[in-house]
Amino acid sequence: MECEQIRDEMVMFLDNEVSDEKREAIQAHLDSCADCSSELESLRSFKQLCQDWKDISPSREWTLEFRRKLANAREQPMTELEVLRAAVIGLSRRVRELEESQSLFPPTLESEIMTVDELARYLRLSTEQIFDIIDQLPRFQIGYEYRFKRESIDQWIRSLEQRPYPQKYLWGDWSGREE
Amino acid sequence: MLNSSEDSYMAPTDEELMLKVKDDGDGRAFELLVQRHRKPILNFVYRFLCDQEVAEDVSQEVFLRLWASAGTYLPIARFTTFLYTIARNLCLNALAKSRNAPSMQSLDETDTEIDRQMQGKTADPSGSPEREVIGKETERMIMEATGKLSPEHRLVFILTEYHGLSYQEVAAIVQCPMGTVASRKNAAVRQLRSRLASLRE
Repeated sequence: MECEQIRDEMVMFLDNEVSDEKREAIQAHLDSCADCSSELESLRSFKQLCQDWKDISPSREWTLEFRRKLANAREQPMTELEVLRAAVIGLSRRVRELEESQSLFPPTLESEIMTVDELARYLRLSTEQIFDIIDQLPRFQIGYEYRFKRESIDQWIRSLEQRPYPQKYLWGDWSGREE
Repeated sequence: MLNSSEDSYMAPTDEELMLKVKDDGDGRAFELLVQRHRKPILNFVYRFLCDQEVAEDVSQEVFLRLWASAGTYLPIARFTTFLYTIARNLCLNALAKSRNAPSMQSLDETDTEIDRQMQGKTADPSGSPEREVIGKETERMIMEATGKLSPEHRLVFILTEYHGLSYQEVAAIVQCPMGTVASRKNAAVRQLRSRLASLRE
């Protein structure tokens, strides 16, 4: 009867999870009971055996991979400051667009390099029309942005002046498309 | 010889570091916590899920979650309780996910998976070749046997046996009374001993 109870408490006993009182009581029983004492040894060697399942170490990539994930995770939720900043940038861009469209600040054509909008104004065309014929224009790209050198555009205009056919041909369309 | 400042007796406790993370978003303190605990957490996840690759991933998730939930840390709790609670939750999630996965693994497949895992393990340079083979076989059998425990029993067994956590701390982590921890540990040990009987002469 007592042995049964002791055996239930043996795991706790080896895990140091019993009170001092209990520890003494169990120890006293073990000293007098060979069966229980050999059971305890068997349990002890089982726990020893479990320690043969060795630890693994983090891989070389662990830290790098973790940093990457952390950077991603920190990007997602924007702070209030970041939200406001994005809004201000968006607004000021819109203000500039409106200002330009209302010609409060007409683009200066003194510059040697023109944007698509500036070129459109220069040629008295719409931005859309510029994009339609963009393949035929002397141009260069910075990233996704088209830029035009005024000198090259002027040269291109001169070459058009010498051509005999109507300028509409540029859009590959003889019928209609009257501006 | 002097140790690095991190090891000296002035080294901040985990709890102090965690408060710095919580209050100031201190990245240096967070890094120290990751350095100190990534190996134990990796091994906890590995022993629970028995998959080294998944354990790498989940252990990283644990620390991401730690960073994200720093605001909920209360200094009355031990840091390890907080950390292992996160790890336990993510382990259970990962387990549920692998169970819901369309390809249900049969027991045979699980065995070969464990074989594959064991082959990937680096050899212990101190042991002789035969000892190594026997050690790996032992490891494989322990892994298999713990893998057959219920998740609740496995958690208690791993946390007490391999991480030296007290029953009280385990009770806080798995959210059950201490008496339940003790009885789960007993049951786990009983099952494992009978499954591993062949290993003991």
